[in-house]
Amino acid sequence: MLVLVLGDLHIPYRAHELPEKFKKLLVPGKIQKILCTGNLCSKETFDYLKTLASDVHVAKGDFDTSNYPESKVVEIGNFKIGIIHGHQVVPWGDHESLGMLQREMDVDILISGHTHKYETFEAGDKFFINPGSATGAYSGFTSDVCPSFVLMDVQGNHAIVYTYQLRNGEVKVEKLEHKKKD
Amino acid sequence: GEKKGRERERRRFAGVGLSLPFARQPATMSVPESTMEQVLRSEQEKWLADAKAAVKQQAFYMKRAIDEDSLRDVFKYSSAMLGELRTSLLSPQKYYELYMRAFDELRGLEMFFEEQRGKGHTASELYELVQHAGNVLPRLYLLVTVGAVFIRSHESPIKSLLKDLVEMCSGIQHPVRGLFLRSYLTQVSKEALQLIENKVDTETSTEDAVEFVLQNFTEMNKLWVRMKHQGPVRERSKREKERKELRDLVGKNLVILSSMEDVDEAMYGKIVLPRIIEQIVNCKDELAQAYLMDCIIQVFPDEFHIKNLETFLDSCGNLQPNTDVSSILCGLINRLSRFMEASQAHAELFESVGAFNKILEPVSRISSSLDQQSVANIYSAILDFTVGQKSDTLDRVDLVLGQCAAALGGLGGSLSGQASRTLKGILTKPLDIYSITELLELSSYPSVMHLLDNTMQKQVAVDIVEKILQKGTVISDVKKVESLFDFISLLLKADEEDPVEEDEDDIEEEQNLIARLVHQMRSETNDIDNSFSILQLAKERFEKGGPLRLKHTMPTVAFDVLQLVKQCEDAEKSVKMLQYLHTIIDLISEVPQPEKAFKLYLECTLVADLKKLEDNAYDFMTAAFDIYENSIPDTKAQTEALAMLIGTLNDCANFGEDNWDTLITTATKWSIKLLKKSDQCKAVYSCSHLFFRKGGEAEASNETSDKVLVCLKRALTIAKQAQGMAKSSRGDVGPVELFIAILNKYVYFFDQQTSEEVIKAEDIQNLLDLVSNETSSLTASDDKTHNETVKFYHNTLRYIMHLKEKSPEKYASLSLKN
Repeated sequence: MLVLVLGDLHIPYRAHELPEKFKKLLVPGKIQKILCTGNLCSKETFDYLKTLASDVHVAKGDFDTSNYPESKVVEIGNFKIGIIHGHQVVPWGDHESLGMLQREMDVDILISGHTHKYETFEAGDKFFINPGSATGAYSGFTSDVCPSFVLMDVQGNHAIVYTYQLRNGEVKVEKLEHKKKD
Repeated sequence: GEKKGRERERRRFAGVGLSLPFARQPATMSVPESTMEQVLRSEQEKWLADAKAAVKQQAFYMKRAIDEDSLRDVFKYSSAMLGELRTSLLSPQKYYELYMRAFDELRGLEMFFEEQRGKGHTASELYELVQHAGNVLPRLYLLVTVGAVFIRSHESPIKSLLKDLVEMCSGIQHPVRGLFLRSYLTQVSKEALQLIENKVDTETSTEDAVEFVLQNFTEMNKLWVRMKHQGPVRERSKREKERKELRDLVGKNLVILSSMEDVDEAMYGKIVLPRIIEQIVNCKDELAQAYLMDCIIQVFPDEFHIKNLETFLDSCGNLQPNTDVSSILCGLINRLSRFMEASQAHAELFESVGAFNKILEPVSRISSSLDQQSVANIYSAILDFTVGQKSDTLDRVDLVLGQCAAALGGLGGSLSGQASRTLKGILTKPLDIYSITELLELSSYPSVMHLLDNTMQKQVAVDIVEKILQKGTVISDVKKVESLFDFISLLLKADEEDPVEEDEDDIEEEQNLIARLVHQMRSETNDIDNSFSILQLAKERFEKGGPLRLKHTMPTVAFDVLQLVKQCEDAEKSVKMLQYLHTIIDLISEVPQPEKAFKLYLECTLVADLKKLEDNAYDFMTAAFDIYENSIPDTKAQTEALAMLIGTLNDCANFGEDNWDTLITTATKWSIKLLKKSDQCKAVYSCSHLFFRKGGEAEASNETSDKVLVCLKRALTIAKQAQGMAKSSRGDVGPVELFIAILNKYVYFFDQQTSEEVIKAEDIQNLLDLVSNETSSLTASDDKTHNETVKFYHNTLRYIMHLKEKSPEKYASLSLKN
């Protein structure tokens, strides 16, 4: 199953739209689920995501006004995946604090955002993904934000993670693999 | 011969019960129209069949007389045959069929006359003889037929013959019969015109030929127009339809004029065009005017048109009010378009005679006598034409737009729906073709926009904004930004006409567009001053939109200013911009949207801190606290807001020790003041991170501050209180997960220590035991929340075990039991 992971678009307050090159990659009908870390911020942005896939899960970001949940857990393949925006986790982006949240939510993969910095790491056999900001929106504390998002191909215990980053006008793709330990 | 014909007719009429010689009146009015039409049609077919049969019969006798070489009999039978054309019964279409039948026979007759000339009769003799025919119509047909022979004979100058014939035809004033007669003359005279062109006759010039055709044309048009008034008023639309079928008879004359090679542009301009137009205007008939004006355009060469634009266009102002002037002009302009596209030489010709202005001036003049829709259509066509030219078109487009606005404005009144749509099309065209920068140079564009009603103006404004966003155009000139705001001014201010009815969702959609637009208005060369002045301008304009609008657009301005501050190297400028942010955030606060203002203050704090502008950072933080204390009443909102505040504070690295202490103490104080115990607990253990660093240090020191432990112990106390309350008020175990969370925090700080400075292993052990106790009562439960808590606990244990494996010495003293 193909899952799109993205967030922190901040449309319209901090960005005017997704980069053209990303829009061309995100074609409706290919993606089954969307997991969004929040801070969309407008209804139009949500509607756009709905055109890509009908199953859209959004966690509420600090600048969202719509009624999304603070956090969500979905099951895909054999994975329990948790989504949260991340501004609630103090210190922001801290690996250990994210670890505590993973333990609390009892998830295999934790997806969070807020830092506008793409990052993945493994801790204690669990996997952590921060898709960054899909629009490369301004962040008060991260410098050199570049637009990024993540596409996960989940089959059973196996997740292949493709990251897309827009650097200097070119889309760079990286591939990672994560297996769930029983 | 004719007597018999008349008798035959009388019998025909008597049978049907109608009176001679005109209109069939319906027997009764109660018969439905379609049935009546069917009856009439079958009558028509019968009459035509009868007439054709008669023609055939007389033609037979005529041909026999021709074979017998009997001139007298030829006259007799040809006259009888042509007598059938005197009928008033047939519709124009049917009459045409009869005419063609007779026409075929007349070819043979002409050949006979030609032969007769050879046999000793002069043409003029024949011409004389023919005039003894009894009835006018047959006489004239015979005259024309002989006329052809006469012309060929060169016995007289062609011009006098043509003049004679064209005048004699005036003897028939009945529209249909007259038209066909003159049409016959046209047909027959073609040969004569050819002879004139070949300069065969020294006394007849091209001017004479032109004069003949013009006269015939004029008379034919008069007859054609008169058809309209024949018969009862209620059948007028039917007659107009019948008239349309005959229009090419009249138009043919113009075709002939255009094919005369010796008619050059000079003659066209001096004689031909003015005469044709004179007749067109004087006849005061819409059908004729529309058809003939269009005919002129289609039939004469484009070079002629280009050199005579004023004459033609001015006459458009003199046509009947109901004549569709706009389609005439559009026809002309389309033709000129194609002409220009065909070659460079054509385009040069156009420019050399200043044709562009020669189109615009008359149009401007005649606009005042036209209706809105026509004016709109005309300018739409002119615009398409202008835009299609290859030369430097921007100024011209501006000129066209300006005139259009003046013309329509001058007509007064509000625009009809259809005219509005045409006008919208006019506005969309430059938008599609030009870049935004170019569009903004069309100073007349807004004046055309203002002619539309507010709704449509907004649509155009939205189109403009969407275009900019679509193309990703960046506008970096303050003046251009100002122009743009003028263009889209309706989107930026409240609708004065309809102040109550504003739909919030619609406004949100619109204003989100504007917000997105702000990101496109900046310097492209990292000129911070430039970008800042643009943002200041934006803020001023958005402010005028009132709270409903600015709540969507101001945050964007704020963020773009923050972005500038981040990039700015100059401390003074940064401070100035940060101060400006206060004015923006105040506006948002007053909407009222205190929560948004609060978040923005937090964002400002981050940037000020990043830039090491401690005073500004402290000031923003104070402002945030202020809103928190006074304007966020709702418990849930408070909890969320405080969490954001703690997170923000934690990320600040550059506060001096005193300020830092004040801030984190205040944060902790507010944490304890939250209503729900569990919220208090969570906020307090989050605050523990604040105490982890001594103020003024960018990184956590290796010495954990003991305040961290104080904080965590406080959190523990609150958790126990929460548990106590839950047990006594609801009889349940209470929020056990809080203990587990606190345990996690203990471990977090323990792990960061190098040695057990603050948090001791036994502190953790104690907590572990506590938690173990609390959770044991939950394991048996079915409750979902309890299950989650147990999972949290097990995950935590696993984590600690993992840490033990990683650094066994550190965790040596911890023992874990399940």
